[in-house]
Amino acid sequence: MTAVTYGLIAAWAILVGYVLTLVNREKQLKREITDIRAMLESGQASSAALPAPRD
Amino acid sequence: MRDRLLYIAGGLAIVLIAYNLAQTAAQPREALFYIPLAGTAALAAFTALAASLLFLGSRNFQFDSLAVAVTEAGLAFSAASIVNGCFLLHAATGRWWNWDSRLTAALVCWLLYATYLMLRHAVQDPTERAAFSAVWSIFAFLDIPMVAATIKWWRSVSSLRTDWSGARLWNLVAMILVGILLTVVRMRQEEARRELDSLRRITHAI
Repeated sequence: MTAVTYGLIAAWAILVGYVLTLVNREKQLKREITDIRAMLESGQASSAALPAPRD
Repeated sequence: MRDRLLYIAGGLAIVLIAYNLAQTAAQPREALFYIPLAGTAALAAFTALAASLLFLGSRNFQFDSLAVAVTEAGLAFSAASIVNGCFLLHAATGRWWNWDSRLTAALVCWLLYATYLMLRHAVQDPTERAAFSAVWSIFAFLDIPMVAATIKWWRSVSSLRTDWSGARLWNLVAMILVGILLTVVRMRQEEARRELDSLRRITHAI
């Protein structure tokens, strides 16, 4: 293999590394959004279950 | 519709990359990938400049998302071109780095755009963050003509011809397609991050 080929592999390795970072970040974002939505929904459900204040 | 277009662009990019890799294996030439990588990075920098100017003019956060997405993708292409350049330099001179004018100018450019991303992490307020980032992106773009000028001013190490024909042109097309894909994916993430921030604000308000 020549230096040109090694250079090519190194360049593509960087781009693939960036793609993997994007995939990882996407998973993390989705997880966080799902968690916060679930938290908000459970919070609303619990506040709806509370008895109405008396006059 | 947008997803379908993305898949088509991705498929085209894969076909072009496979074709180019086969061509490179058959006939290795040094500038076949270095110049398209750098060209894509320069195009990304130009797009970031346009998006930053549009954001400052309209205060539309879609342009801020585009600017950060294209800057990050361009930074990856720029890093790939610098590393590729180091390998070419090693093949020509036996040294990994010798402060060659093009490599140095490209490194300075990379550092300027890396600072852009660091700046975004440093500012908390979304509007201030977007405005500061846009101004920094415009400032960073000033280095791009210098990088281009170094190619003309100092012809060092290997004289890379810039004729856009055959495999090199197709490489540029493939890289741009990959760049568009990465930018769109990153833009979606930025929008998701904005949604996450608003959800967090709601949580704090409750």
